[in-house]
Amino acid sequence: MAEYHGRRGSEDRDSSPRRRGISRRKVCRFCANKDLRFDYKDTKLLTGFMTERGKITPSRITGTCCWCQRRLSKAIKRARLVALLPYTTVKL
Amino acid sequence: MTDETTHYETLFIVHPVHSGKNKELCERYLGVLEGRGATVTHFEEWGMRDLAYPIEKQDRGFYNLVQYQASAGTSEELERLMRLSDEVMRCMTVVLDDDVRSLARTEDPAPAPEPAAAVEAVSAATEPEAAAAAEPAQAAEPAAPEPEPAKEVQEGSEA
Repeated sequence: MAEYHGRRGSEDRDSSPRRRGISRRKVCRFCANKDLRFDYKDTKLLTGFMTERGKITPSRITGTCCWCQRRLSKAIKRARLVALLPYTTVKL
Repeated sequence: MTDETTHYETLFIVHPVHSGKNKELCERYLGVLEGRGATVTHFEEWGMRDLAYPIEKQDRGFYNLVQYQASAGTSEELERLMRLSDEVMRCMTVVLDDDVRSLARTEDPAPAPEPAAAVEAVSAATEPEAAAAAEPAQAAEPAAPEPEPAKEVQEGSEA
């Protein structure tokens, strides 16, 4: 899957005039670094996968693989429940 | 079945007004756990922390973390008591096996090519699946010089 996208990306780069920059292949951080855990208490790590508004960043942006994204979102939702992370940063 | 124990982790937030008697509260809950035959493996007072959003109109709370090994029903009883008490603003219990599983998963791809290795029954059960998942992935992509994408596919199909 990831490999296929990478190839298509390189073709686009050659043909289309819009995409000229070198696109770096996204790697799942959890697969690359085996020490990372899906721990809801690790808010420092989890905030890296959230937007400024407190939304969970999609895996297509972060490059997180499907397996890890499911566990990551679960950890973020757990952290939200115990008020370690916000549901939203927008003040009502 | 009832003799089987599971590793749980409960995080609970004590109301800042009652943070003075946090020690008594914790002793009470730990007593409940031990009274039901659970073994407390870890207890940690995080102390007063800012909440990410107000709970019960409070912006701060006293966090406590308990890890324990208990049989079925104990964590439910603990949660029930916490929900009934006015001192505890919020509590959450999770099964600690999740982390263990994530560890097992990272170790899976390595022993997959060597099924002869002496491994636990759990990982042994997952190995044939992993091997089966790896074969079609390789067949579909004959020219796959990079091992990483294949792994990702394999993980996705496993889960």
